[in-house]
Amino acid sequence: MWVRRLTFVLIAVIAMPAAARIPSLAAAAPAVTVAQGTEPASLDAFQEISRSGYNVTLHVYDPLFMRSENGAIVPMLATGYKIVSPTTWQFSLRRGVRFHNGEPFDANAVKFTFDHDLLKESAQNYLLNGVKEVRVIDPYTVQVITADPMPLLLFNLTLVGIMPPRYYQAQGASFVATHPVGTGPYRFQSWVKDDRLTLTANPAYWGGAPRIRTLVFRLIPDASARVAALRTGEADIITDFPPDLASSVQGSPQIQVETTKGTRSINIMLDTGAGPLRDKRVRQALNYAVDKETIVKKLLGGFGTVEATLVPATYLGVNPLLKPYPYDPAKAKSLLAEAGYPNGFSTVFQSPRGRYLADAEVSQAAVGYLKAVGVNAELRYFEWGNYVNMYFKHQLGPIFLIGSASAALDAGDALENVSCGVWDSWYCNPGIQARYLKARSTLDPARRAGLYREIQPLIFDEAPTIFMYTQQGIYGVNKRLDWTPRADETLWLAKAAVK
Amino acid sequence: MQRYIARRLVQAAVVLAGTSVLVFVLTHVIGDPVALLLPFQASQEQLAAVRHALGLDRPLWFQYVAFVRGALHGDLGLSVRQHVPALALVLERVPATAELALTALSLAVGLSVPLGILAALRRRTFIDRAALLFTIIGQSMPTFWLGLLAILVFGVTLRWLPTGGMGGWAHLLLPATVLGVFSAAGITRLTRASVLDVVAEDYLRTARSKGLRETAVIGRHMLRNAALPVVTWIGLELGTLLGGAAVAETVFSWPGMGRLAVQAIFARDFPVVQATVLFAAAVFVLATLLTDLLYAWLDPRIRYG
Amino acid sequence: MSWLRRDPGAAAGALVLALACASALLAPHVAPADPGIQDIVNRLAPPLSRSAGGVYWLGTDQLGRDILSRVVYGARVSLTVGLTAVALSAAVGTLIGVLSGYCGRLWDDLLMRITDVQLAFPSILLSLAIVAVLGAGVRNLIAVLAFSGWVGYARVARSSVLGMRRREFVEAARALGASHPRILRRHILPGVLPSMLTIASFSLGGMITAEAALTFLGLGVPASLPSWGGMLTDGAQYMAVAWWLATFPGAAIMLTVLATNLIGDWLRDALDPRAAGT
Repeated sequence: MWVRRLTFVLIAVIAMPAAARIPSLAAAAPAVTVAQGTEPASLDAFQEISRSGYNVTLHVYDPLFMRSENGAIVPMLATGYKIVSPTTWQFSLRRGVRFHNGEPFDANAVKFTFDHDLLKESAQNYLLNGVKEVRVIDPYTVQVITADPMPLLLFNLTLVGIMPPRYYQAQGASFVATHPVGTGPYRFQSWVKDDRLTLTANPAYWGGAPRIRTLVFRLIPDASARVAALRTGEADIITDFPPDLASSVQGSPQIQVETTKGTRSINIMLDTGAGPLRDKRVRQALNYAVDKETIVKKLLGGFGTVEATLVPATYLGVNPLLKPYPYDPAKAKSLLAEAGYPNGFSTVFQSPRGRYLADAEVSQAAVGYLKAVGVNAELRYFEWGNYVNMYFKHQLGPIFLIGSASAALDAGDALENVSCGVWDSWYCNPGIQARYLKARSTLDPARRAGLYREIQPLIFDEAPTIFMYTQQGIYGVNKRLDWTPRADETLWLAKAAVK
Repeated sequence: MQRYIARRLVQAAVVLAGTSVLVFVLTHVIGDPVALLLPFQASQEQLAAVRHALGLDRPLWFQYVAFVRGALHGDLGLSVRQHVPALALVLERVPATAELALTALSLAVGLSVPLGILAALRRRTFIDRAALLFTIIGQSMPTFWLGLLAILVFGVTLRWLPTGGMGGWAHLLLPATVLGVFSAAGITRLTRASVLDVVAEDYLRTARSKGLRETAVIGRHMLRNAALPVVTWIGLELGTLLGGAAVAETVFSWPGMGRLAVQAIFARDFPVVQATVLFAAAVFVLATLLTDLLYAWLDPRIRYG
Repeated sequence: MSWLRRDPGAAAGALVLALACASALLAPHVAPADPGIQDIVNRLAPPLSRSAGGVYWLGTDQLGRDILSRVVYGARVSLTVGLTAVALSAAVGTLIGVLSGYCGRLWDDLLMRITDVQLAFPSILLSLAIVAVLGAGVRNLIAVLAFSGWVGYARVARSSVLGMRRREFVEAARALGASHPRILRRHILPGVLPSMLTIASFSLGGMITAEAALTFLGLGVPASLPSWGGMLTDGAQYMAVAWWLATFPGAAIMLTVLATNLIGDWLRDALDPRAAGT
């Protein structure tokens, strides 16, 4: 009697998973779900600067300009621009646009956004730190006056979402951080931290209501769990598809892996201010020590390109004549010996885990290559949120892996990582810096490119970083979706649709 | 009974006080909250200024009193990273973790108590061996591995259950089962052992000889007595579950306290770590208090002792 | 050695544990290769793959390192962490428990309240908090695990000392004028040790899985050292495409834990006749 009763209970408990299958996948949600490995820290466009954050905020806030799918600059909240003088840009603004809360969009909103202290103090201050003044000419005309000519201004503006001044001032930054209001194609609906963020289509969007009604951004930190969610249809798009798992979705009727041209440059930064890394020969040795071709071919599954310097081949101003440092451990050892380190040295290598394609594996492989020439680097992994924080505070080093991308696809942005007096550089050479500053304020693209091309051989020889590779964007996409990824890594779903 | 409850309440209060000391020592004496707030290159003056502003230059006992006073008012400091009260961040996550841990506990108890009793009543049969195999695997398989395997099998291959995230109860089942397996293994083992213990006792033989039906013997006498150690164990198991939730929540992207704690540690966000640990400890003290009272109710010897 | 025949489970457990210890001690002689050597061209090679250097018996991992060698070397880290943590927690817990039971009264109250406080912390959360303060690393990991494990010993030691205090041999020793340290050393401690040993063998398994869990959360053994938990963590990412990465370290963990449990079962039955057969 008891045995029978207990057996029944037992069977009931065991049978529960089978019973649960009914509700789970029966109702295919009308929403489109994007799964990313990291979550925005804030939805305040002033404070959020990570790519996964932009992917969300760009749907809520409109910038003045954006890049189209083929890379051309297209007007968004601006309708046009005029270069009044080399340091004065005039923008005419779109009329009749309202923020989601009804507040009208006008020149004051632009001035409020560009002038805001939080923007100037944030890590994205480089976008506008050449701006001297923002002048309201009339409600739909603004002038931006820069200290020096700023050839990349338009491109930089693609990353600056326009904020509603009255709402922001009334509610305060910490409220806006979780309740964003913009002019964009999607309105904020809800955010369960560490789980999902839901946006709904803005029917009154000036560019036409988006066809996808609900956008869900889910956080799935574990890469293999992210792929699992894509395979089951729980996610429609996953970013940073791990190359090693590409074979697991091959031949799938629902899923395809889409790639874009590489624009994100991954490098191993060296703190050239202290220790053995002050010596150019040591830095060159490290460049010879790492087999970049094998790393890209094997660890990235070929989804990348080895570069000669930190300027990707897709950028304006790249020097195509430079060839990457070859893999030559013998040469590396002799250079180290020449510099006075015949037995190598010990150091620390820091790396994020789960931010870039195969970042943990690449760092581990690099540490292995360094060890082979006698440089013993202790590898330390960090969670991205913490890592990026340390990066902004200039606390990383002596050796660490970081990726950077230029919204303008301009060599100047890439070279900032080895320029003087900025938070994101660990190297300074006054001679090169003078030429860099001159190039950076040259408005004419052809002349600017020429100047950058002259700088790169010097940087190559100085080896201020271990030059690595450019990674491609890899997305896992459900075939029911009509959407193409973009080379500038912008994930923009306002024009996408479900087939 | 009342005296017992009173004594147990005083004990619980003492334990909570001790917990606050331990957390305080961890965060204020061993760890340096200021060093974490400032960049590495901060000067001595900067350190001293921040120390003063936070009241960290006062005597330790003074700081402790301030800490406890704050804690009693629900003030455990501001999150370093998100600039909102740390306790609020923790409380926001409580429902998710409670849902997960309580489901895991119910599943574990629902599975392992019958399994343990059956295994004991039907020793050396198929069910006993199955129970043994289950306890072995359950106790030796790391939770995160089991979780990722479960995602692959039940989520990707069989498509029975969602692979992660929070939602309906279908979303809950996989993480709760994975989280509960370790506890279930322990409870099965214990239930089996304590039923076997009781079976050997004399009073059962007496009861049988009095002519009571087997059902009545098992139901009234055996299970009640065998339940004693199991109830205590289940109370303790809640602590294991709260801890294990950190792993299960990471694997299944479940937005609970465990993930919050892990992320706070990575971000060196001490107020949040502190709030999580204190909160979990308080819940745990409460749970053991309740199980002890339940125990007293089940076992008259304690009630009147 | 007759117990071997009477309890084949324990014998198998002892054999597995002996093998694990041997591979930990003799790693450089047993392992076919250096566990850190990367062969990126031959990464994710399945078991029994051949390469220029020989055969990868258990395949290679995501960096082309020999999994067999890493499992062998991993025994070093995992067992060192597990055994040291068990030894530390057993020593501290026994000492506190014995003192508590023997001295009684105020001491007892104080020490038992301390164990209550300790018990009030879910152990992984406590470990997380300590790692947060001290930072990750092998030494801190051992400290953390030891710190969260001593309570069990203290409780059991206390109750068995309470039972022994009134037994004839202790009373007799005291009547004969033996000093307290002598009584503790000669009479109490030997009486407590068997149950301590039983707890220790059961908890070794728990320590090894806890090491794996903390390493999975990024708070355990640093990536540069091969540990079973670390290998399992990395390998779990590849389960859909390369099963061997997670399976072998996972099997090593499961077998070791199983072995320690079997030995624990046997110890309990052998040392405590009352519990025999349960």
